[in-house]
Amino acid sequence: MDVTLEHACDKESGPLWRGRFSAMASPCEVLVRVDSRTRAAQVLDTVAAEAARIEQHFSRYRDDNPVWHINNANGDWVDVDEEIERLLEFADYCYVISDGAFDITSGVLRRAWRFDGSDRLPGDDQVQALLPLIGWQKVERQPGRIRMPAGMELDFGGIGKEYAVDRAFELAAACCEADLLVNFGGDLRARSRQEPWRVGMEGTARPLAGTLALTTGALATSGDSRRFLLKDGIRYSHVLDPRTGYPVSGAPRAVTVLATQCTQAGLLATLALLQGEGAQALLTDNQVTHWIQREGE
Amino acid sequence: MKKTQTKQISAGLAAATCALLGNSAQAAPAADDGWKFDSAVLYYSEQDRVTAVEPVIQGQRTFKDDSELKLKLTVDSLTGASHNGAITSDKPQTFTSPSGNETYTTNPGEVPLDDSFHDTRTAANVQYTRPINRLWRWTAGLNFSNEYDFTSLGLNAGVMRDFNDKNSTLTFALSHEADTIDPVGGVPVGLSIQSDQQKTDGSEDRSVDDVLVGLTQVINRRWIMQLNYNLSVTDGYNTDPYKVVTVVDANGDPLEAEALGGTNIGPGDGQVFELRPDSRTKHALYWENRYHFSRDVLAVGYRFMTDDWGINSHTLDVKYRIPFGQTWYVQPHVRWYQQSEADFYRESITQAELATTKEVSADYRLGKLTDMTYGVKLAKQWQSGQELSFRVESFQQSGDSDAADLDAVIAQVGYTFYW
Repeated sequence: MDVTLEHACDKESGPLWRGRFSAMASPCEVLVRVDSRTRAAQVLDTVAAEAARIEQHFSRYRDDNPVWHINNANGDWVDVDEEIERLLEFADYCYVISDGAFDITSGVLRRAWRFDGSDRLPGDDQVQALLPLIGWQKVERQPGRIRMPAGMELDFGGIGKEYAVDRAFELAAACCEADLLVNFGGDLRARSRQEPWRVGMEGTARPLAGTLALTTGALATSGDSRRFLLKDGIRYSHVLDPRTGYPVSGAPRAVTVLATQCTQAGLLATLALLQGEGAQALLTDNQVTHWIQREGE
Repeated sequence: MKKTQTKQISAGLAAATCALLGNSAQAAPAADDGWKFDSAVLYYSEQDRVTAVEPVIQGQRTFKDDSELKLKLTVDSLTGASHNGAITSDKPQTFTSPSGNETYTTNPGEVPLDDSFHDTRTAANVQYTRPINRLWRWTAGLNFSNEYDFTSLGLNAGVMRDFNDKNSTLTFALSHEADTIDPVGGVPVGLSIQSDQQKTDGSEDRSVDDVLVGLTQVINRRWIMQLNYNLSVTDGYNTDPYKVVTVVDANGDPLEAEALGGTNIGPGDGQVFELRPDSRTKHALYWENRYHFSRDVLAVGYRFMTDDWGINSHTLDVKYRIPFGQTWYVQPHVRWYQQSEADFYRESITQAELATTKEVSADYRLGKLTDMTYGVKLAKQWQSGQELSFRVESFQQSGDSDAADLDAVIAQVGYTFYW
């Protein structure tokens, strides 16, 4: 992994260091206010190592990790570690509160849907053929192990990056008392005791423009305005409902949520997105600070 | 998603996120302004011997300037019988009571116990700690303890310095304690025959000076380690004025006082008052590790002590805390202790040895000992920081003498609250 550390600026509150690396297909950034470069480098190493560990552990694109073993067990029981169990427990909770709209077995729909800006919609038979492979309720769990029908796949992509931000942030926060910001591709978590962090909110639009002053908390964005299909004047969002196999209608392009932890912010944003037209109502009902970007905005 | 459910998402999701990230459910109590009180009543009962009841209350408050005040009050109430130092013999033995006014006899085969043992100890401690700047803190304290035959007054002062973003803390502390011992019936003349009741009026003094150097180190977010070195120098009266040593013949049977030129008060009265060195230097190393697994907490402590009386001791203490049901935890505890005997420890002495010895004690606490403690603590915690706990432990001691073999039960009820 290519990791760089630079001295960003000096202020009354002390020197600011910026570390950069790339992980989980995203540019990653660590900002830390400490006196010594050694200390800053330690913080950066902690964050980068945790990002790499989680990527290795949960990536769907490797054949040497627990996710691969689960996805290739052909209907047999697979032992899982304590961290995977916690993630499964969390995914289960999200599945229940969303009435099945959030489902970590829905990744197989990608085989039919490719959101490349074209007009190539999949055939209905293609979509219907995938539906039997989706459904968290078909997954059996016992303490320390999991079993699911052959052909089904788990995908932690919907929570992995936010979880990595939280984990890396908490490890770094425990090893120093400094002001700190951990940002993986726009999902971030920060703390500051003096001067607030100024976070640029590019692309997410109303009701926010410019920068947000953030002392302690996390921001996460779900949605991607570049990923869609357009046919006969209808824009198909990339937000797929695992229960129908089709895009959620009326889904915003992107939702950004402010919360205590990044995982929490990310999930609220995703659940809102899955509500389609009801995104705004969900976030308002839950009294969370949020930003919604819709088409044409 | 059902409309009725949407309201609950935020709170539920926050809890689910905490569970995912492995945060403990224990809310940090409000550190500002209020007093935190830890109260407990300890019950300790040795089989056929001493029973102690000890209520303790400790108040702790952190002020806005980060200074901290701790006050502690302990009352110890002891009743029962304790070993008087003599051997367990198949012959009867006769002793004088501590006051010197009465005599008592121990039947053959019995561990000689002095049953006039009852006492109430009151102890109070005050400790104040205050930051000097971002890295340094100082601390100072006062200790007072009183029993009917013993008074102790102590002072301590120290400095602490943080390093590595407060991941390391070095402590340096000094303390001085002045004790006054005023035995019932006077201070016995060491190595004199008990039945003669050679005693001096007035009291004896002892001073204890300690140096402590400590390092606390956060290894990572799960593991914290502490290493302490303690030098302790005691100067003055270290003898137990109520303990005797049996003078025995070639068969190991107690001699008669009159055979030693002393006063006859009954059979097996050849007992002399013990006498210990008037100084003691102890070195102790203490190493503690606390490891936080994603749910459980393991604490392992090891202590090594060596002194110029010839005693070396090892203590290994292991606690494992298992939280369950959000607000409860159960904590098994195992403690192992072993010590070697003091150079002047004898279970008994012969008349020839008595003539040449300078110091001798038959107190089993200075002999070879192995202790095992097994216990479990069950506690319930509330969001407000209150905690109610119950602890039960079984203590088993064995040594070279019959007097050293004893079993005890420890029970404690504790309650922590904020005011």
